[in-house]
Amino acid sequence: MTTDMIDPLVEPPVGPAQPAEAAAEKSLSKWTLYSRRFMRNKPAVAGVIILIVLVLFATLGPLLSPYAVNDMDFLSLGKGPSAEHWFGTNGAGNDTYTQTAIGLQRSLMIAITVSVGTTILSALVGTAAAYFGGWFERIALLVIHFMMVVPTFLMLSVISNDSGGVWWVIALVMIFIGWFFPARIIWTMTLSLREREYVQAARYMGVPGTRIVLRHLVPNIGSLLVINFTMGIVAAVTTETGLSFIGFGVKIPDVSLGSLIGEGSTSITSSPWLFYFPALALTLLTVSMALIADGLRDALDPTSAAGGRA
Amino acid sequence: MSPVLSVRDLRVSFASEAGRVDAVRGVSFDLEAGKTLGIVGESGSGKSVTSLAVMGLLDENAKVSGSIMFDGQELLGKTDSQLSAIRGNGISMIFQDPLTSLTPVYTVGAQLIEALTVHRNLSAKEANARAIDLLKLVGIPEPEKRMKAFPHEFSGGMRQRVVIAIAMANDPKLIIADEPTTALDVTIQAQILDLIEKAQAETGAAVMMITHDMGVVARTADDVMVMYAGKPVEQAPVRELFHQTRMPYSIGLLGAIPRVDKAEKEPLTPIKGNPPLLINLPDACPFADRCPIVMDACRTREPELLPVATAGGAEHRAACIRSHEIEDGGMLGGLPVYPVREAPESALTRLPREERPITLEVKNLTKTFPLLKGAFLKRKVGEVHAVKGISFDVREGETMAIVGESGSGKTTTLLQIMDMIKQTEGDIVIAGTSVNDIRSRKVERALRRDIQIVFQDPMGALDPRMTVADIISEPLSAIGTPKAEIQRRVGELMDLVGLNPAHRDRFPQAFSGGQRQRIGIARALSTNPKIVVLDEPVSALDVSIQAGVINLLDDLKVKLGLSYLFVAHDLSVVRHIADRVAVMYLGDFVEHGDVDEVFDNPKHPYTRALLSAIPVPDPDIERTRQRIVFDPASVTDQPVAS
Repeated sequence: MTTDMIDPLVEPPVGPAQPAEAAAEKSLSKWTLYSRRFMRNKPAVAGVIILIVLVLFATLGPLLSPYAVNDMDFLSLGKGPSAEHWFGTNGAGNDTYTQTAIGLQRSLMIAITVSVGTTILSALVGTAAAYFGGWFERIALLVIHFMMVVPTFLMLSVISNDSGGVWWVIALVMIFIGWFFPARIIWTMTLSLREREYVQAARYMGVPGTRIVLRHLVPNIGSLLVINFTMGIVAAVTTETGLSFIGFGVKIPDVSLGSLIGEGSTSITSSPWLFYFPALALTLLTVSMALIADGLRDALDPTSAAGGRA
Repeated sequence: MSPVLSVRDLRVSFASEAGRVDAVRGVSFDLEAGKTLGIVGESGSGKSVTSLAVMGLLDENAKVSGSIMFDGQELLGKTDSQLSAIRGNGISMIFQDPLTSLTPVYTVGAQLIEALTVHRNLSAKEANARAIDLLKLVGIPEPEKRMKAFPHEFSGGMRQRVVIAIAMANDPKLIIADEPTTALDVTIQAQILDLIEKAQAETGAAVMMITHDMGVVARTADDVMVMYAGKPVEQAPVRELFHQTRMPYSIGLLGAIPRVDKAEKEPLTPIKGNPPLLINLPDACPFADRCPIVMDACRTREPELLPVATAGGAEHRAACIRSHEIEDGGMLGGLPVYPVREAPESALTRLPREERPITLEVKNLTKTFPLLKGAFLKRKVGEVHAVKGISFDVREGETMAIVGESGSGKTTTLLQIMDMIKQTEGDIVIAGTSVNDIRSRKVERALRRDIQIVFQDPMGALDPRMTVADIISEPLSAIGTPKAEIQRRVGELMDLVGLNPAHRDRFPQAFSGGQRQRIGIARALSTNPKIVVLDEPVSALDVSIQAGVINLLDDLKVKLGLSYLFVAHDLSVVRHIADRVAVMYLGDFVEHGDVDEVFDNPKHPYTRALLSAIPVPDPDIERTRQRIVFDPASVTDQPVAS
């Protein structure tokens, strides 16, 4: 529709004629505003609750179990869920409940490290390359384009296998192979952002370049970063799962959701609980992250239906 | 004679999340062949929605009721395919933006021929011949050759000519022009308005001219309808409306426009507040909150559009319960409806110009862009001279304006100053410091305190992710002001520009256009600059809002002893606000001097052409004015400076 009427969803006109609801000198801060908007989004809140439950399960869950992750109960080998072993045991007699909790813990640690790492790295490199231009941009793009033609998954498999499946090595390598695609997307987005008048205005005010990048450019690709971050967690969990599934990831005695699912899938007909419990944990994790991503995007979006109000 | 278009009680509403938006609330008018109806109003007044309803181009979720009779047929209720037979044939439309109303991937000729063959059975040869005729008619040189050109090969004005050619292709009975000249330069605007008149004479069509510019209305319209909040609030023949105005809103609109033909320096009369939201409107006059002569009765019922008797005796209707009390010239009981404000004055303005200190001096500013060739190793093959060595100075407490049309180099000049580009042969001196002497970032940053800028687009210049307080304090934190001081200063600045300091934690999109521009001004003033650069600060604003911002700038200049460097294409605004003016053409000042001197006694033919092209909001003056056309080949003499 090509009308120039005021769209009440985008710009609620707030004139001096309307009394300000809060006459206090310091009213709502940015963060209370964001959290209120987020809290109104029911699915997102459900996502947070699921995530909290999962995190509690991963951290406190093992304490509730009488078995350690590598304990073997020779009296119940490959038994289904029971009062003694809530999620059953595997063929070696390991308690699946404990293993799922520890595996989730490991997977979460890898996923969060990787996602934080790639998001920060890609945001900084992408925006800085676009804003500063010149040789900085040329080198950054050269590296990005070079990385794109490197068979990264192969690299990841080889390095993680060499390291003997240490989780932080896997995480570091995953950051190393994961930052450049988002960085390139952020670079293109920032190119148009760079030409916006408020960036120009900030430059004319004498705001230093690094500050412009951090205060204006990065927040304005915020919704993209939030989605990148939450989707990055999903991607990292699935990559790690895939890696462990084919045997290159986390190695025994360490467990992760991927190694558990990989192990469980071989015996899905005879002992399905070995597959279903870790798979359920994985599904809940990814779904909750997707819901949170949605809620965050709406809460942080300045053009959202809530406008400038809470 | 029966009217071509007869609209009765047209109502349009849209469903939105916030509730039902009543965009048009009861519009009725008749339009006869050969006549022009001007529909004036600000953004959100429903004028564009009215025109789209006539064209049947509204969104699917729009609810339309009432009656639109075109040429004896009822248009409402017709299917899209039935309407397609009428659109472009019986009714055609000229859109605002010529840059986007032509498809970039087809040649101009192909688009013209398509418009012709879609409604008529023409052979390829006939269609081609008719298309060339049309291009010739709208004044495109070498039409045979230009038929094969793509839209991007035309300038904005030329594209609008093509759009008009397409609009008149099938001899329509009704042409709807929705802000046809808003995106164009003034000299081009004058030509396009002439062309629309010509198209009207050629086809005998009725024209619906939708605009926010009272000058354009004064020039083109036979009848005028002023719209506010989705309703017509005053309807009358053009002379009657301009001379015997009876509705406070229309009076306000006319009072809010600066005039290019008068050397008035008294403040404009802005209409306070903002238009209402069109959701759940109460049964009251929608203008009541902004009206200077509001009474209790205004808030109990919405006034109807009723006939008013005036000395002129013409058919005149207004929606105001006090319209019979209002006299000619916007007076009520011997007093103006809008109280006149005192013009601000200070000791500084009484000091002769020569004795005031210089805040900005530009000497021989030059900017050339290299023309590069080659795919890999770029070779310089020539230069484009964007700015050809201009010099001027701005003194304390004065406003220097640079006017010019697009491509004249005025924005480049601004950017050169703001970027503090070192000049090889000239110099830029800001508050006593030459940019050629800047040796370090620190010095540059310190100098930036003294020169600040306000941008044209009030939305684009404010970071949507930052609160108003953060935006206003940004220049302060850039120079390292302590936090407590910043907090105090933000409140003070918001108060100064007429914003409620309690709104400091809101985001810019919660404010209207005028308020956003005030935020931009507050930000520019935060460091106590000596000079403020204003880049078309009011051109994106509605007329009534624009007047408020202009008055604010006037007040601030006097109160804070500021100097302004004002860049604009709107000469009426320049005449009102500026003390000195420079007319820029092709990168050079063709005329430079005192504002009244330049406007009343223009020496250079380009200045004369520019001044004669601006529509004046007075139908009597506007229709008798002689337009001067500038022929670049005629310039042989040197630029005039006084």
